[in-house]
Amino acid sequence: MRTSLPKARPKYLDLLKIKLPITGVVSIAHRLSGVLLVLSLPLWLFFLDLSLKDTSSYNLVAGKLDNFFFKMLVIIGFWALIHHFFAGIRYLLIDIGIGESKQSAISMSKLVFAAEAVVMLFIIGWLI
Amino acid sequence: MTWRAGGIRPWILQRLSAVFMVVVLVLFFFKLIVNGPSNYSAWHQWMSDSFWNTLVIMFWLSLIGHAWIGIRDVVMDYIHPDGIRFAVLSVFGFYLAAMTIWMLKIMFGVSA
Repeated sequence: MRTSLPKARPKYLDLLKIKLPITGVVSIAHRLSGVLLVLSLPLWLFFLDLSLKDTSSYNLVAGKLDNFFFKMLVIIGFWALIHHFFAGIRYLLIDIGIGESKQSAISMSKLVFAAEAVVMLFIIGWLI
Repeated sequence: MTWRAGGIRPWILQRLSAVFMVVVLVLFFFKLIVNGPSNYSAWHQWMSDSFWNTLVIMFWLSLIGHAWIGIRDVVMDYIHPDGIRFAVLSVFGFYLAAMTIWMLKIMFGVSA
C-alpha cells in the first residue's frame, strides 16, 4: 500500500499547462470573438450614426478616423467579426456533416486561420 | 424568468440567424468593394434605399437574437450562482434593447 502521494501531481485543468489542439483554439476564439462583438456594438453603431449624419461626419469616418486608438479598436472589432464569421461557417459545415473526422477538423481549423489572416492583412492594409 | 432555457428552438434560431447574417454580410461587403459609395450622399442613398434599409434592420434583429442566445450560453457556462447569473443576463438584456432602439432610430432616421 502506498503511504504517500507523489508531491507534484499533474493538474489537468491548469489552463497554463493545457496545450489546446488547434480545433480547441478556434473554438475558444469563437467564444471570445462573439463576446467581443456584442461588447463592440456601440462602436459600430457610433460609426453608422456618424457616417449617416452629414457630409463632414461622413468624411471623418471615411477618412479612416485618423486616430491610433480608434484604428486599434476597429482592427480588434474586425478581427472579432472575421474570426467569428469563418469559425461560424465551420460550425455550420460540421452541422451538415462536413469536417467531422479528426483530420478534416484539423485541416478546416487551419483553413479558418488562413482565411482570417488573409482578410485581416487586407483590412490592416486598407486602414493604414 | 425560468432557467429552463432550452433546447432545440434556440439551437435552430442560432443557425438560421447565422446563415442569414452570412448572406447579408457577403452581399454588403461585395457591394462595398465592387461598387462602394464614394461620398456621403451615395452612402446615405444606399442606406435609405428601402430594400437595403429593411435588410439592415432584419440583419440587426438576427444579430440581437444570435447575440442573446450566445451570451446566454456563455453566461450559463461560467456563472453559476442564480443571483449573479440573473443580474448579468438582465444587464445584457437591457443593453441589447438599448442598442436596438439606437439602431432603429438611425435606420428610421435615414429612411425618412
